Amino acid sequence: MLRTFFVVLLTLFALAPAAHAETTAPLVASAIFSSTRSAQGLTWRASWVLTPEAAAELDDGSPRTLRFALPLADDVTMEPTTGLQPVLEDGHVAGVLVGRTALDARTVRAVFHQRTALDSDTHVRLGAPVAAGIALQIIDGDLGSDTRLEIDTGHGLERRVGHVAPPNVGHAARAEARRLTGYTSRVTGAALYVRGDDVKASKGVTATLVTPHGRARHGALAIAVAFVAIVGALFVAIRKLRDAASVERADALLAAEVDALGGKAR
Amino acid sequence: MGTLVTLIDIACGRPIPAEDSGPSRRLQLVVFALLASLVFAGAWGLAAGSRSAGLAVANLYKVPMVVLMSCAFAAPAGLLAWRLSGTRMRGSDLALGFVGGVFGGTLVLAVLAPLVALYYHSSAWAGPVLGIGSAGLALLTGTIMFVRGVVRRLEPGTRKRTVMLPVAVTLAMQLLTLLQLASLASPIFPERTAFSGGIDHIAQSPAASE
Repeated sequence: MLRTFFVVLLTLFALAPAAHAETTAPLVASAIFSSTRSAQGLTWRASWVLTPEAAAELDDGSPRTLRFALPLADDVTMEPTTGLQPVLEDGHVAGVLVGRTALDARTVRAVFHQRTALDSDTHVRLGAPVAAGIALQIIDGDLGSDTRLEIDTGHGLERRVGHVAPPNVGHAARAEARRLTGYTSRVTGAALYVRGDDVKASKGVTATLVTPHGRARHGALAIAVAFVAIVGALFVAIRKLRDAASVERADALLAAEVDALGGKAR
Repeated sequence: MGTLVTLIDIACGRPIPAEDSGPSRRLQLVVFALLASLVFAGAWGLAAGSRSAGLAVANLYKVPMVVLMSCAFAAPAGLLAWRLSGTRMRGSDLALGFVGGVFGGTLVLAVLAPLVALYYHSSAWAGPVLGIGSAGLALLTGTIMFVRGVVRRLEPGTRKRTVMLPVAVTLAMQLLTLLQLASLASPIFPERTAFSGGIDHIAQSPAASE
């Protein structure tokens, strides 16, 4: 009797994690969100790369819900896409129901429009629909023509050489995210590697629009002041050196004359 | 005029006349060379931006600023390298060699300025090519004049190798600062060039950031 009880108990313990894993099996392996400027503000092209298991399930015809780390803000709308149904929570898009027809190999694509005023130096909450969970995803803030969305750091994000990422995200994880999404790394500093859980913890990612003009403006004034100061110092130096240099020249010419006379006398 | 001839002689690496060898006169020549370089750079800037009046006027400040600030940023590193290298060369000889190179390089810009302006007004592609080409030629000329001026002023018995460290450090610093200052001052040409985006654009390759 006791033996049977332990066997049942052990079986239950063994099955419990499997049952839990079944319900929370990750859907997304990685994702990339590319941004471009539009008349209304920003256009986000989202490409979520699903895990092989999730892709196989979808291929079998059972739809899955892809939840976002945070519901999208009011200024973000989703373009109607075949096979994708927005999941609404309190009037906000909190995810998408992915059907079989939305699947392209392991990738699901959608386009989102963010209505926002894009002025230089203004902070914008990014409307990229980062998937919930621990999958590392990439937000590419390079808007082209040297204009970029510079991610505001702090809140668990730190700036590194050429990208921004949470402190505990290593090279291998970033390389894997790039491999999955086909993202080509550039040295713009506009790439953000982030997980859904990071976005949730920081209550959204904000960025500042940086234009070439805006970037140059910050340094230009300091350099102009330094330039004027150096030119001024050069003119002051000329005035101060004038007399001393004349005396030196006169001395040297006199010495040469004396030498020449001495030579003649000999 | 006499000072200009002396400066050209210095840029060419000729020996400094005895009457110009005093410390104050040497320093005065360094200052004159820098100020003359600003005028030459301004003339070239005017030509490079001559397609639009606004750009031409802006270049009267931008190009001399790029030249002078790159010198100001490079000089301390060169002087430190000169001290650390332990060379027997006089610091003023290194400074004269350096400003001689800058003077020579900007003189090349100034003499090519009419050609750059003419082609900018009469050709769609030759103007930008000449603009970039003249800047490259000026850099090359300045480098050669700097190295030659320093080597020719070495005291007998001084090994050439010992002065190459300060020369290389100064040149490297100036090139690196020129690159970013040109990007900060952009646009200098009416067209976007490979140097408009600074080091980020030049280093823009798939594996550069990892």
